[in-house]
Amino acid sequence: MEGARCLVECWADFGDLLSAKVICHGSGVILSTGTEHVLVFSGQERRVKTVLQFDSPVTSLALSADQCSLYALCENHLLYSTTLSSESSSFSSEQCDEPALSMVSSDSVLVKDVLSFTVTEDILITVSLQDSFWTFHRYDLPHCSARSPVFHTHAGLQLPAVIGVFQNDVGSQVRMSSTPTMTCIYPNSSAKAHACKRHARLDPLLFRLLFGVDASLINSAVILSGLPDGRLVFFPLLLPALTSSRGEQKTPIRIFFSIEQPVVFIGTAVIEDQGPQCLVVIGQRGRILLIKANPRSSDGKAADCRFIEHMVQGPVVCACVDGDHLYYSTATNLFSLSLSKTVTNSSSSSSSITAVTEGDSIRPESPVCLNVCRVIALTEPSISPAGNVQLQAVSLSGRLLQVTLPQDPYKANVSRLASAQAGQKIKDLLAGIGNVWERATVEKQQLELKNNTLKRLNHVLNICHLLLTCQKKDPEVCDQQPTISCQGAAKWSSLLQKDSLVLTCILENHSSCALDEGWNLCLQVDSNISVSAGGSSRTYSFALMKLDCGEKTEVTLPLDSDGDLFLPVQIHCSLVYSLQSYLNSEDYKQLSTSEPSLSQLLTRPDCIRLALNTLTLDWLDALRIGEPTPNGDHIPKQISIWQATRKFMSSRQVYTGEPEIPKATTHTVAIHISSELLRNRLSSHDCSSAGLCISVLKWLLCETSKTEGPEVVQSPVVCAKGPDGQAVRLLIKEVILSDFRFKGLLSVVEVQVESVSVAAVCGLHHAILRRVQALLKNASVKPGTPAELRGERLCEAVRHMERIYKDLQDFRDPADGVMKKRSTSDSLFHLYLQLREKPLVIL
Amino acid sequence: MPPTLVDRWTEENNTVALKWKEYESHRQLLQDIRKHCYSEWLKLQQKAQGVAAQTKHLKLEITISYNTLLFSLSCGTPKETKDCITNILIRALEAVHKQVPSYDLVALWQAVLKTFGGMAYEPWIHKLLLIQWAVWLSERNYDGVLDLLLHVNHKSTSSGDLLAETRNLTLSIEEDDSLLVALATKDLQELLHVCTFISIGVEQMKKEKYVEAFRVLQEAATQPSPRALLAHVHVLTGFCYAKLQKPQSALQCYRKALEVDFNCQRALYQSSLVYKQLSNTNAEIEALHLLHSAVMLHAESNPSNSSMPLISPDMLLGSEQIEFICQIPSTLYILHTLGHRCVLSDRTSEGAEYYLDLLASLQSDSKQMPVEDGSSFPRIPAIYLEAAFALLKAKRVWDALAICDEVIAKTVDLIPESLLISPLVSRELVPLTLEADSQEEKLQCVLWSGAAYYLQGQAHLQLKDTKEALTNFTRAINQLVKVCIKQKVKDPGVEKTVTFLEALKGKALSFRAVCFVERGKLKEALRDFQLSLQATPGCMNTGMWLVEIMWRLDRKQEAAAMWKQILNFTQSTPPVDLPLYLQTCNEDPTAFDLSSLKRKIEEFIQNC
Repeated sequence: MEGARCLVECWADFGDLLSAKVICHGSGVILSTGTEHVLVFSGQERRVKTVLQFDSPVTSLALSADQCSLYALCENHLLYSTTLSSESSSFSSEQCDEPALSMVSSDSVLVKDVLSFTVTEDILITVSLQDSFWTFHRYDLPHCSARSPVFHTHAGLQLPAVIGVFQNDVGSQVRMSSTPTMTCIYPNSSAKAHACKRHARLDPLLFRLLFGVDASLINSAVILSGLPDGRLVFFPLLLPALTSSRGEQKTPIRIFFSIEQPVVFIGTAVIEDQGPQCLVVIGQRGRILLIKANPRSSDGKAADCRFIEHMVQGPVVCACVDGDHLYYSTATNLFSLSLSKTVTNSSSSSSSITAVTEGDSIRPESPVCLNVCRVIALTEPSISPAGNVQLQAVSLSGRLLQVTLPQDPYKANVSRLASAQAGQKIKDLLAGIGNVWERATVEKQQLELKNNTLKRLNHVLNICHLLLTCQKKDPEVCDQQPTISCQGAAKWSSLLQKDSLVLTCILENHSSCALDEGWNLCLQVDSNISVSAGGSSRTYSFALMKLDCGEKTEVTLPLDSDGDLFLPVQIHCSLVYSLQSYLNSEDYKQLSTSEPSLSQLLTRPDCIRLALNTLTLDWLDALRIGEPTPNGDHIPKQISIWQATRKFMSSRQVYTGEPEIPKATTHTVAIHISSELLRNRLSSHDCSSAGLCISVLKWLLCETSKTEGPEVVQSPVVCAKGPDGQAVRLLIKEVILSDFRFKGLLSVVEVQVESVSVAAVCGLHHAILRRVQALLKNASVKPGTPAELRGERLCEAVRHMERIYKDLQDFRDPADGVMKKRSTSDSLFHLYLQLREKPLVIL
Repeated sequence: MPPTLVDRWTEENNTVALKWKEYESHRQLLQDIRKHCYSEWLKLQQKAQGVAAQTKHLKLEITISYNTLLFSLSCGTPKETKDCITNILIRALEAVHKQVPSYDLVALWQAVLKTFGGMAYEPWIHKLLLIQWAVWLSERNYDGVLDLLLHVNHKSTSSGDLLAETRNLTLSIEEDDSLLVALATKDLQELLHVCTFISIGVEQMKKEKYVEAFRVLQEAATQPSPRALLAHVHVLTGFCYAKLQKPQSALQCYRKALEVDFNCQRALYQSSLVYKQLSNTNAEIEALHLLHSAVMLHAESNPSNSSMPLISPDMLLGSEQIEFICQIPSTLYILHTLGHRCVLSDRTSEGAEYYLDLLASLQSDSKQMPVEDGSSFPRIPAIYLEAAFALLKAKRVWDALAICDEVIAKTVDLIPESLLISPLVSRELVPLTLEADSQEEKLQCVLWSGAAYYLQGQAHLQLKDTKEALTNFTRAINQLVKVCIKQKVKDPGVEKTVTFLEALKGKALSFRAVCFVERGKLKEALRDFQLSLQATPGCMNTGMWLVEIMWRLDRKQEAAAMWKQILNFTQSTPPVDLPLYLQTCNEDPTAFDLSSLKRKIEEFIQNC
């Protein structure tokens, strides 16, 4: 970017500012610094002459036509009017350095609820926002306080949510952008326009094209307003209500364009020395709209307007026009743009709306940097005695500057800066750089955060997709290894002299995606056969650390809390992802404290839940095999605890005088399974009978828990302890059934369960039947064999068993789990008989 | 220094009251002194309320509050007034050691009126009651006022008739000479009395119950009231008469209103409307003229000089009702109506003057702010053309030419070479367009520029410059033929404009034909007359001209056939309500003397 140097003279320093407004007043300026004070600054004496104190910070200033009254709009939306004592300049000979302070009381409030205003000769125009309508009022100034509003226009403009779009910008800009900009425009033919230099004037043809024949015929001024949403509306100042050709009343207010960003400045520019021929509108984000008139051409084409759009780097904080130059300040630097060059550059394209953007084939006119930093307010340009353009500016650092522009910024005659000014400039530049850098860092951080979140969300969705498709396929292709699965095994652990059953779950990730932080493994333990008929359920949740592809993680959870465990239990595994992790904790805290409704919104449907597989844990899994028991490893074949106690007593030579309690009967139950079926299913076709027995045992004990070493099972007999501590024995042998119905001799595997505990026998019996049922179900049923029939019988048997088992559980007192009532023993016995009734043969 | 506080406060009160009375009689700088008095009395009230409420100085305290409240009505906010009333009522109850029932004004008033009924303080309480009446009247809280008055009249059952209660009201009014007040209680009561009647009358009128309103207003007219207010009552009565189809009685009322108050502009405006209804144009113009002078006179007088009484009817009736009573249209509208009526009733020179006045006030130098009064104005170019027409009729040809020039300069360059009228483009669909780009506006421009050229042609014709006239008529026709109607447009605005364009085309063509006749170019004249007849079929005059030209061209057979055809003409198209500037001037050059033609043709037909 080419630069130009201009002479900058610092008139005063008011300290850091947030916002400022400045207008010319004679040779000096009047400025508000975003506080309650308005300073009248004398240009000759370089000092503040008068300080006007208002009730509220002043946001906008205007002078009356005779420069004697000052109108100030404050933050409380009250418009004040005060007379400027003209004596302040005549008393300049008085050597009082202290500026005079004058208070502006609420007595001088003219109008309330004003968002923006402008003053023409004797007419005050205000705009306010009422019930989502922008409402313009006109007031006769001399009688302003006595008269009620004489003009109301319901512009019918519903206000879309515009305020607060630019969250990242500086606060002052937001405030500035949220008020409409108003400019009064006179046709250049009007005599009054020549009398009043302060107002924008426009070429009559363009005026007529833009604002209509009526306003043009009576030479009425037009109020042009740029709303914060970028719409440009106008209404003639002095035109009575007119009837349209349809006989209805015409709306005096019209929208004719929208630049789709808050309007910062509206003015007119002189191009090619032919009067003010061009309407200039500049938006906050750097969109510049130039409107020029095309006169009627010789070939009979009617006169029309040309809209030229041009983009500059925003944000534009303030702007002004002098001749054919547009001066505007971004928050960092002051620029000058030659409008006539912009217009000529764009004239080659013939369409009525020409858009010129950076990187176009026609190189757009680029603005010239004037190297004045951080200007936030500008006055109307004036011409110095030497013929240079002068601007009074206020910078963000609170300096009131007089900027004298070089006569032709395109020639190289650059005025040299004094060394002190150069130092100052370097400081300003460095500060500017610092500001920009800080802003950039914050932006970058936020961007990164957002990207990360998106990446993670994408990942989560990938995993969801993967699991869902997998589950969909499952019924058809069951061989396929699930991508993410959970395996579990029960183990006994001894802690603090207390044995407890612990479930170890292993989550394996075979998928191509890694499970990130934020995922939780949820295990819901359901025991559906229990005393309380409804079943109980407990959920455990484990937060996962990052789990890469192929990795596995192990979690353990206790199964028998409070000592009672009702087998079998079902464990539903699922993966849960909490969306809360997207908000960092501070945000979340803020959300949950600030608005209850919002936090509810976030915590309620806060997670994604993906169901994995379901594990079942039964008596077989809970057996304690091969553990060294206190009374030796020759755990009795048919010794009950009672016997063991006796044995122990006698070994210690303690004589017990009690009569021998009748020997506790060992309960035995047997299940017959066709050997052929087992051979087929367990794929051990060529084993011997003993080998088959061992493999059956292995299958029973180690099917679910693959971790348990097969070395435990060396013989077809296993002695173990049930979860209730009672010893059980599993005996597998192959027997030949000769009396079986039609096949004659049938070789079957007999699984025999022995224990003194009815519960153990019952439970194990049920567990074994369940296993066999699963085995049968897994196998594809061969048509034509009676297996189908048998399968149905098996189901019946399992159900029967289940019922018996449940009844058995119900006999136990829920409080301590010990059978107390003698009376129940009869029914128990009955149950037992039922159990033993008939060894089922499974083919 | 007076010995006791009570005496000192009494003295202060009287000083302020005297100051006000003095200013009131001089009528100067009212707003400032009003604010000053208000703040003085506020201060005094604060002082007086600093001590515990006692019956001893209750009269003084109420007087101070009454004075404060009188000013608070115009200077303070409604909330301040309300708080002030609540405060003093509570103080009054405290002074006689009574329980304060609640801070609700209605309940407070009930308690206060009950407590002080028949006591020596009653007249003072009634002073405050009047203030409350004023507040509720301005808020149009009639139920509140009724409730209040019922308590004063010691009636337990509500008749629901506020008017009857107001009529029967017996307030005990007693002034203490040692305690001065800014406004006498009796005056205030009378004002309230009549304003209540007017307010109810206006409400009835708004509901279009004119008979009821009429009765109320008749009673209001018998009450003592300020002049301006009485005039308003008469105007409103007249309004009711007019609505009840009794225009003569209405006029009587308006006359009475003007007799009572010469400044009553609404009476003038209303009577002009009645005259218009009676088709008495001269009287209408007279009334409007008087109204215009009155308005101008009123505007010239400095508004800051005109004084406002302490309690004005405007305050009691509220701005909405006052607007209903007093609103008159803007001067622009009055001037336009005046000019229009004058031109139509052949008072051309007057009409021309009014139009020139109107143009002058339309120019922004007059600083006339548009008033939103529901009346609407024709488009500005149309007004210019009307003015040109009026000037032309008044034989001020050059002025007319200049005005037409202005219209032409503003419109011609907006018209494209050909203007296609198609119903496809709706303005509602493309909201962000310039008005000048819309099809309707372009069509209007064609009409305006065509009419301006046409009027210029007429002006030149008046100057006997047929060559210039011919040029201008040709220009007018050239403008008009630019419009090309592709498809019938349903839009009423466009349809209306197109009808005007057709009428204008017919007129321009026949005028050009007359020019051709004058210059002896009969063939061209014949063509133009034929085209004109096409544009406005069934125009008797044009038909006659055609016969004449044919006769002159020695196409007698055709002329005779045409003659027969014209005699069979029935007015096929209903006459269009043309705008003023397209109407015919009094001496129409195209007007035709039928008798000789008739003789010729009938002779010819008989000979055949």
